[in-house]
Amino acid sequence: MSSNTAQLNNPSIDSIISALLSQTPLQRVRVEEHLARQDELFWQRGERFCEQLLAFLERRGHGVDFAVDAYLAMCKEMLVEQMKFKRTGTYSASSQAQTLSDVYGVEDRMTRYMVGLSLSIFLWPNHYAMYDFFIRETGSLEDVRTSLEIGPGHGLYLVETMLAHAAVDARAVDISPASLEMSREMVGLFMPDNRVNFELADVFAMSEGTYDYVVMNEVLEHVEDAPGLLRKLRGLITDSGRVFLTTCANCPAVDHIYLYTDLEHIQRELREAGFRIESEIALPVEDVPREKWTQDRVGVNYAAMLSPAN
Amino acid sequence: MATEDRVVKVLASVLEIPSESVGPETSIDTVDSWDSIRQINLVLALEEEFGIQLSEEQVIDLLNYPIVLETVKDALGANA
Repeated sequence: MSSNTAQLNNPSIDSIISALLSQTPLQRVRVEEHLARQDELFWQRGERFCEQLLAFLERRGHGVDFAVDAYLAMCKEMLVEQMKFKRTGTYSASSQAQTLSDVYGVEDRMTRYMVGLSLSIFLWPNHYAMYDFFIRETGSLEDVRTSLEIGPGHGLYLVETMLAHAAVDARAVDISPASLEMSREMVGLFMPDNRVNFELADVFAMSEGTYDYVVMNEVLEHVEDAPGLLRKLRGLITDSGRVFLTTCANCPAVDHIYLYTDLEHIQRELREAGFRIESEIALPVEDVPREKWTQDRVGVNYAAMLSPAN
Repeated sequence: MATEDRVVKVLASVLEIPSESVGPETSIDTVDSWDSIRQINLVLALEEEFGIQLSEEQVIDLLNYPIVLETVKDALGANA
């Protein structure tokens, strides 16, 4: 349960957390410990987001229960996928055509998935740490005039980019119509006057060398050719541009395809694509010593700010 | 060793709790250490201990001692 202050001042996030904790015994202790460590800024961010999320759901005739159900369904799916991964060492999805037909192209399923994923930002320590890292890193950039976000999903990162760089000319692309619509609506709820150009498009078909800042969170593991996507990203930024991305190693999910087998695998491919790693965080999902991450195939969440290597 | 005793041993080992504390009331709601990671380890440990194969979907069902015991007995019966 959140703090008394949160209960009094943050009705949206608190209503979701209260409903959720009573239904998620597998995560209850970890989530409670995570929430107990948070400061006022966390609750402000969480309340702001959950308020918009509930407004988004209300337009569709849904409420807190829908959000909680979506999150729990996502967690159950992930647990089953983790079980499969423990046995096989591989992800169960193998092609984008498969994930497009099973997940991205199915509106109701995709919306539920994005809602569940968005809540994980405030419920999972690693996801919140990466979100916080993104805000700090994005805020420290100068002269961001043009930005591109690939796969903006729930839209929260896109909103943060625009909060940090109010004058930015922002573009957002996605291959999922349902996800793109959620991005458009969520950003619109946060910022009714935003001028983001939302497009249903494949990043591989985009022209090169035009953006000061490209954001691509939790996309790499969803494609068949992650090295090719990284090379494409490198071509999309200007010589002084930056890329912020998140991905993960050993993190099975129903729509994850490209398996990074350890942290070094991710870092190596970033460098091979022509990037310099300016800053990064790597967060294990289990309490396992660093030297055992590779051997034990520990899940690792990763976020980095990248620049052109030359 | 009886099946019940072996299930107790596995639960105690995976959840890092005393064997004496495992009983009908032992569940995900009563053991704080019983989280999603230990849940996966529990399924794998049961499979190894009993030489059985559980389905991946059962990982979301085995949330208390009585269900774990019943599931193991069913699997052993199916293998017999």
